[in-house]
Amino acid sequence: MTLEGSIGEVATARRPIGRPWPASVPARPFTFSGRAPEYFGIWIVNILLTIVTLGIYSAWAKVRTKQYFYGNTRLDGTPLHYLARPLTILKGRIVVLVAFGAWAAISQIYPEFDLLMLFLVLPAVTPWIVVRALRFTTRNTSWRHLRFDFAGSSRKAFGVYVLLWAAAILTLGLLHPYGVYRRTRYRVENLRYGETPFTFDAAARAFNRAYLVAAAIILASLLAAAVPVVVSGAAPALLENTAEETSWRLAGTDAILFLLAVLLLVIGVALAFVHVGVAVANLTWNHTRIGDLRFRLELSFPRMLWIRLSNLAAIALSLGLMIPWARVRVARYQVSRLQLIGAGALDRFLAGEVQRQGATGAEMGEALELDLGL
Amino acid sequence: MTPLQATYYDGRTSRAHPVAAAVGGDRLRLQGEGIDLDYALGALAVAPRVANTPRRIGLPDGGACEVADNDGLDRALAGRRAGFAYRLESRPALILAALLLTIGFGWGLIEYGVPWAARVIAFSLPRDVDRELGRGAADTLDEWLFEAPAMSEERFAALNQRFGEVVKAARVDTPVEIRFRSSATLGANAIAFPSGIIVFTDEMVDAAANDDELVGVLAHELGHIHHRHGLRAWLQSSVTALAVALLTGDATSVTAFAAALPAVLVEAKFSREFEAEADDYALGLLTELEVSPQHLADLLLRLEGGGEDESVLGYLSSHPATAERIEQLTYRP
Repeated sequence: MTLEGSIGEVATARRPIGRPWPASVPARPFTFSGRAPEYFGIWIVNILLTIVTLGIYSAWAKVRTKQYFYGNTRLDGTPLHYLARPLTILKGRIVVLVAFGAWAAISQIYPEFDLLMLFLVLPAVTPWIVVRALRFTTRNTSWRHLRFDFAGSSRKAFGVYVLLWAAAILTLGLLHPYGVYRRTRYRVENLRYGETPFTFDAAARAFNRAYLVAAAIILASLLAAAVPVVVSGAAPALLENTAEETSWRLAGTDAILFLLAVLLLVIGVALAFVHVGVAVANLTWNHTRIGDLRFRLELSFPRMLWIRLSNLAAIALSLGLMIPWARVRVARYQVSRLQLIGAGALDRFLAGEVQRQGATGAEMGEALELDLGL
Repeated sequence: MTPLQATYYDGRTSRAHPVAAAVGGDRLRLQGEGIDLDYALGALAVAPRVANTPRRIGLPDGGACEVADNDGLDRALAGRRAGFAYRLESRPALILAALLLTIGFGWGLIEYGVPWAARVIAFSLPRDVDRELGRGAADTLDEWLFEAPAMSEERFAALNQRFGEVVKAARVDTPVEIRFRSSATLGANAIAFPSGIIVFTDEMVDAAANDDELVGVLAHELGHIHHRHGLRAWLQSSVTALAVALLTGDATSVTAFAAALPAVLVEAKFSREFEAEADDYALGLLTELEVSPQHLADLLLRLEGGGEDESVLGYLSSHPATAERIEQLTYRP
């Protein structure tokens, strides 16, 4: 299939696996201009003021952090903006705090309360919370002064968040990749830039494949971990008792071999996690379109793995002081691998209805937006 | 002043219009191709400065203006105070000060602030809370760690009798129940649960040379119950978890403070202050009962030196600074 031709053909054509877009199709890169020393100042002042104000400043800290990362992310020279107001976030946080505090306190006294919350209240309330949180984040994000929006319904959210989660648990994880696919589709297809919707054209099988690879990695690490266990002769004991009891009885080389087994397992899980993260991110962006423009994300698994591991080491060795550096590093890599493909003009998008109605943009409809860090 | 380079957006389309922004008098003027707009400074919503990210100025008619030159904008709007947070975040000296203060405050909060808050909250709650808290904890541990005691009937009856008298004299608000168990993992140990259950292990009973020593341990455990240490320890770890969640900006980890109470108790992260409080209480109670605190000191000494307390989870491993405690207990002015 030819990729040269009218805009319409470009829009609907899928990029053949492994072949780059031809040079005739313009690609606009995203750029990240944040720097670690700059962010360190913001980060440490955030922590100090949060401690001094016993947490109240955390709302302002969140706004400043988000604005730093948004403002340093540019497309076609224009940055994103984060428009949330700290007081709104503070109100939301207090509500969440009180709710969780009440739950913890009550469930210490009446353990049955936990069940009530888990099986009755949480499933009913989750879709509503998810929709409001998504709306809050999207409506407070703008590019070229047009706000994004989220148009999803709570009913749909119930299906993809509650029902599919339950299905994933009941099928011991087999339906989890499908759940991720449906939730991603829900979030992307209900996303709007101004009044223009995004579309999502991935297939569920791609998600299944990504998780299959992750499962294979974990299986491989389980087999690898079995080796030291068998060598140490602790296998029979392990099969009979819980792992905790077993570790109390092992001594000397046996204990070392057991720890080696645990280490191999942890490595396997870490690899699987990073792989899923990279694969799902790539899948999501590469199948997202807006109008006749599409995105392209090319995160590389080895590079991402290296970044995560070296970040971990740096943070551990610096007792946490390298956290700002690590965050900037991840953001820079992820943004640098993102592009917008297509020849469509970027100045023809129109504001959504909600923005058109609110002249000053101060009140965006919902009185109490909930921001839950989702 | 020289006009600043800016971009104007009308808020209806995504079109970017390069303009020159000039601040004069108390008005802002935007001029560009086909654009000549004028606003009162007071009607503008100027976003606070964050490092050097382009500054957004909300316009009263629904549009917005983006200025990349933050320094220039700050100079132009000199009448308005530059952001407090930005000033802290951008000067190396202040950043260093912030770092040191953070470490200082953080330490102070965890060392003093959290225990103080936990104490105030705990004592403002009714005793019923302690009773209900971890009501199942003792039973759970019964399942996992404890086995039936291997004591003779007479010993059991005699101890029960003696302990009963001590508990009556103590007048603790929570009803106390004493259980004897055997535990290979815990060795010689005594644990007080907030619900009022106190468990003595066989090994502890055997380690004692006489009943007065065990009365000393009982008095100490009653001190834990009287001072509501179980509840305070749980509150402390919850508040700490919450603080960590806030600082790392991860709201979803707030659920982490539904931590398992049995684990907290068995780990016995009782701080030195809790131990000192319990010892003080024990001193008072023992004096009232006319039992010498020396007995308790003897038992502690024996547990420490005699190798009775081999297990990692033995009595002494959860009670720091034994020498200090012995000194306090046996101090005679």
